Amino acid sequence: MGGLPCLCLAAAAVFGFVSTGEAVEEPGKEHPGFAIYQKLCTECHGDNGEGVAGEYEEPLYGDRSIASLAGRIDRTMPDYDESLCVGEDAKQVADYIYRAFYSPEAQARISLPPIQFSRLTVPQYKNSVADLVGLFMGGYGRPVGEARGLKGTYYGNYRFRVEKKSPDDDKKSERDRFRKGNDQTFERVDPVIAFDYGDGGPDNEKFSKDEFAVRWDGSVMVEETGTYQFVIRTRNGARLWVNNEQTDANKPGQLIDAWVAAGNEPREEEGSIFLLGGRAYPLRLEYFKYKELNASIELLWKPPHGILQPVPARSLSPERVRESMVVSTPFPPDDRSYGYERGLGISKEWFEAVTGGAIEAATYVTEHLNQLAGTKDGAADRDKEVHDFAKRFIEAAFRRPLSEEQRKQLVDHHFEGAESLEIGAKRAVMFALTSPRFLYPEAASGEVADSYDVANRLAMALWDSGPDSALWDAARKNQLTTPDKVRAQAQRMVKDPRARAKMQGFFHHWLELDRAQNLSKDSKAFPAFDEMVMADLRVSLDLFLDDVVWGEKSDYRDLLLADYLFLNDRLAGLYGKPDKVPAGTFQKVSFTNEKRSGVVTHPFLLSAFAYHNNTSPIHRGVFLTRNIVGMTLKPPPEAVEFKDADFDPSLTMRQKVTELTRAKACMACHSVINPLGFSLENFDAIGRWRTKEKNDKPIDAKSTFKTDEGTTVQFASARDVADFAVKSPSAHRAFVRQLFHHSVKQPANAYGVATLDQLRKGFESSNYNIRGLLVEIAMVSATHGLPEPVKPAPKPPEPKKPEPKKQPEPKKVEPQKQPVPMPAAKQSEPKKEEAKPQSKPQPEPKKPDTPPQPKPQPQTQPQKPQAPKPQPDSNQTKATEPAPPATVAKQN
Amino acid sequence: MKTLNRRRFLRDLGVSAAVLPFLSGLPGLNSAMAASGAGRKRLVIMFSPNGTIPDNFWPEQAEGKLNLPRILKPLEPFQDRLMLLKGVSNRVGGDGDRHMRGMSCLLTGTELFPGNIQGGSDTPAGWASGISIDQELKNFFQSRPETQTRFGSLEFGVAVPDRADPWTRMCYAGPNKPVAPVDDPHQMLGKLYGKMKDKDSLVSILDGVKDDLARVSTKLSAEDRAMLDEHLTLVREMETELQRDDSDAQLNHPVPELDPEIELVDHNTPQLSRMQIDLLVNSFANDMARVATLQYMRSVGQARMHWLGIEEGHHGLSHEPDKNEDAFEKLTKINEWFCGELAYLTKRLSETPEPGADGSMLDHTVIVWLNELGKGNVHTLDNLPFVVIGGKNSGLKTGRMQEFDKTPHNRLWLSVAHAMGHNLKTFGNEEFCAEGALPLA
Repeated sequence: MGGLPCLCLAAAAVFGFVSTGEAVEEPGKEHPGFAIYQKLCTECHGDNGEGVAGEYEEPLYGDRSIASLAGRIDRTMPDYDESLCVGEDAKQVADYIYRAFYSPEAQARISLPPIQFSRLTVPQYKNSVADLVGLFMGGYGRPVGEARGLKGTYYGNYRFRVEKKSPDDDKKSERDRFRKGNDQTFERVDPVIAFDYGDGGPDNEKFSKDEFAVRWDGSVMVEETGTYQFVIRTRNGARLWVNNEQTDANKPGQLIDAWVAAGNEPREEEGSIFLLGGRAYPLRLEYFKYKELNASIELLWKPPHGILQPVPARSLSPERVRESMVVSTPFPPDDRSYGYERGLGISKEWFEAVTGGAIEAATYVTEHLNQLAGTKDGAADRDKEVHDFAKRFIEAAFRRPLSEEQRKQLVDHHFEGAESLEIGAKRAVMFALTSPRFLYPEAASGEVADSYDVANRLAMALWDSGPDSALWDAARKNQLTTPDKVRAQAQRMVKDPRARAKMQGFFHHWLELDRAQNLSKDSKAFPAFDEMVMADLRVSLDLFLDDVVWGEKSDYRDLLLADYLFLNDRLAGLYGKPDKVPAGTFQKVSFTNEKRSGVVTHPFLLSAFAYHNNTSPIHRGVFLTRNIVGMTLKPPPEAVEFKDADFDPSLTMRQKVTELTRAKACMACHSVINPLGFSLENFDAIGRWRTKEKNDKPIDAKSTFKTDEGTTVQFASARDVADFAVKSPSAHRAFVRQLFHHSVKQPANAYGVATLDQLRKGFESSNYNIRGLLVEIAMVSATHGLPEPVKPAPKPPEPKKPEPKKQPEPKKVEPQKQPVPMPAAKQSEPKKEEAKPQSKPQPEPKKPDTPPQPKPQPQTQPQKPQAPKPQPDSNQTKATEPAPPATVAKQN
Repeated sequence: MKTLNRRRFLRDLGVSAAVLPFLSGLPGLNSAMAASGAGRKRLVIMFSPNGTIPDNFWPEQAEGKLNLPRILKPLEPFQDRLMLLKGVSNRVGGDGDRHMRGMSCLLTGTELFPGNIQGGSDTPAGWASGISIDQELKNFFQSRPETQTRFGSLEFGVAVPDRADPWTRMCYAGPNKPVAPVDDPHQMLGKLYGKMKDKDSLVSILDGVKDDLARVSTKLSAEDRAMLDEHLTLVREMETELQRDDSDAQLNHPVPELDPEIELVDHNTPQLSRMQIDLLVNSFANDMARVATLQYMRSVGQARMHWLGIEEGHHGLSHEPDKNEDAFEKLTKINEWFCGELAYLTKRLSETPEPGADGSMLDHTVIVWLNELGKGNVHTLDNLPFVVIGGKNSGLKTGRMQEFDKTPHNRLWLSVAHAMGHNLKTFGNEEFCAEGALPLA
């Protein structure tokens, strides 16, 4: 990191961030500031603060308060003679520009950003496809319980057989006779698969040493999306399946086949698989020993950003889940130019990836067609079932039902030219997944939102995916029209692992973990800081975030103020808490003496924001300024590199930085950055507590910080900074805004000028509940445009002005007005009993065979899934049972 | 199901691999074919299991015109291209029963690793500890630009059971690296010619996607519509690419038409065998590989060959004593059938002109037919029934039987390597190579 430039920020480019929330009215020409602005400012800043090429090009808008602007103008403007605009004049100009164009409110008035028509982002695409296919699998998405580890079934023979002794035993070959107790089996849950049996076995009483086998079954739960490398380390035979329910050893599909040993030495076999975060996948490991001297087995993995290590118990469950259809086709990255990923812009690469993904998914569907369509080879009604499946699949992809006319137009067509039923189904799926109505989640909606829109937006905002079966149920019954019902769904959904994964993505973005990608430290100065420590620190940070966000209080303030870290034995040794943690686990360890303060002093971040051999108060200060305290900084006009060798070695880092940035032009920003950065000087380049520098100079972490309002705050430690941020509306607002963007992927202002402040106020009055904030953010997006507007704040706010939503000439092209509810064979269905469309066409309530209703699995019971059933009652009773997403699978 | 016709295939070929990376799998066109076919060399190794019936296999005398016994009768039309090698042994010892070593040491000429797979006798063993000759030659061909092909080698199977152990694998990419044969012709077709069906399907849905884009567009503002317009352009481009009839792209030989009705079940083995052979010849004709293996069943395989009127499992039969005339007759029939498949392969190669050169593809090909045992009921690894068919340009002196005495088969692989231009000094266990290649030329 030695080459990282010091961030030196031009004076006039710095705008602090203070939100007021007061109403901002447009000033007229009679405003006293107008004339002064015209006279002194337009030459460089333009008539409306838009900037002037060759003079000052940055547009003048930001989040400073009027008082703060006035102070700045007084001191620095105009740049050729600061004395021309001081005192009351400066205040008038500040007041004018604030109201005319500077403030967010003024900006919103001038140009309210639109909700942009967007395509699915890459995570949204991949999650949607997986969950779409999952809608047709019974038990898909059922949450796993609290138990951790894998269920091991142990056998006294290598064939995984429960054999009974029989009189024929004497006739058995020598090989069979010597087996001791080969009819024995037992089960237990193993937290981690890492066994070295030496020349014995798992149970020397029950089993022969020469022959035994174990089958470990369960699920692996992953948080991050990416490629997971699994490794089997064994002296014997083993094979592994991940995310594949087909576990017939004689068929392909094993991730690792290490069944045939080579000698008795330990060997490693590996296999990699792309997995989506926030999900569990079925995992099976089979292992046997036969007549070899020694036995050992280990199951390891290398997760994204991780190192090779035994798969930890916290990532394993003894419950088996359904497999997921994960599209592995690589996609080009999404547009991040807005500071968060958005589904804007398409390219040939994207289009080809979409097409490739559609083929991949359609191939999967074809291979599992009987299962997904709830039929079997040779069934008399297979043809009809497959057609019906295709229709339901397309409906699920479009996130709303099809009318009879659409069914003819969009479904049957695919079977007409196809050589076989399978190819017809394949084409239907390929069509569904390449249609704009799937790829652009709002493409199928009308101009007034309905329950289907709400369901879709909730799923997008909270999960980056499409609706699950519970949402489908609610939408079909047109229940998502009142804020209470919508909020109830959001509160249910926020508990799902997919919401956790999305939240984790937000924190990684907020904390700039990308920066830690290539983290490395001077191995002489920090010999203990190896890749294992780095991987542990990342885990430690994630555990901390999980603990706070998903704990009872979900309190944002704990993020910044918690005095504990999650440490394992390795980290505990390095961070001054030896013997506090038993090997192999992470535990909370408190640091009252060192003033640890949440993410502000998490060693992973302290290390990431530091040079390879020393701290970097500037990097730390910029991070704190922007992300924790919530002030905006614009990039420096020139990059000045910090070169340690240029300084007197007897200086402290603080002295060097002070020296480097002491020019007046620098100090305009560094007067903010430096005090914040200096407050962390008690933590070295790998985040350990220190009181002295390498050169024995004592650390001085005290500093004085001037707020935008001109008040002065004394910081004595990192905790003081965190305390300051926790009470700062601008910090809250920055947090709310970033979470909004990450969640909704649209500018918050597009939902109304007051959106952010309402959310912020709600956040404050909810004791800074992070999960609650996410729910309210999803509410804003989901209920936007519903006939009866819903406010984001929990307290009833003032009636919102009708949004100037961009309304293209409204046209209803879709013939979805009169959905004909069922194929001919199902005419016995009760119909048209529910409310007909009022002002706008409301799709009719669906029958139970609509998309989210998987057919019963043929292997479970050869029932007739076909019989048309009146849905209401049985549905509702079932729906109240636990594991809501799964119940529909079992209805018929 | 529609079959793939030539015109349709050429149309499909209009899609360049760069345009549709996800539809990869198109043959490398013309690159090697444009060059002269003269001097091209190929190898096919065909395997059938459970030993032969020596009495009905080996001709009585080696001198003069070979009087082919029953099993070899189907090869009569190619008698002058034929060379029988009597007295060659698989001398590899070590772990594993003789079926295992017979199979997994056959093309590797080296020991099995000690392991955990127990055979019917002897010690348990693992995979072979070395590369097999087909993979060795593949690597050799692929290492030189002038002999490089898209796949280098193709591993065909017929009725190979879905399991991986030393009895089912004869090809090894290296120690502990068994290569699985593909025994599903449709899967092989997919490997050779890409997902052509997907292309058909893609073509069929694009109209619908265009219509849908248009329908959705009308609801949007001009600004939002821009993205969909761009999208539409991309759909149109793909459509054009897919439908372009690119007459420059010429395959030497059209894609074989596979009957979709043939399922992968035992009683369809004869049809599957012919489909695989057709694909093999086709892949050679389009120069996708210079080496191919064709593995029938597996060592200890219990195939029930109903089509020959035989209901018993093959391996079970092979254990019957010589005096069991019924078994003797059935095993003869079984081996006759395998030989008939070899004859069909030979015939197809002989009928196919060598691209870019005079003569037939057979002229440029060496075929070796082998078995993991010399005789089933004694499980001998001696006197393995090696049949070599050498094309005119193979440099092999054919039309004869050569007799050896327990000569290690490693030496045969040296000769075959030399015939392919690969001047190996040793192959597999060096101990067996001391006397160098067998004099086949």
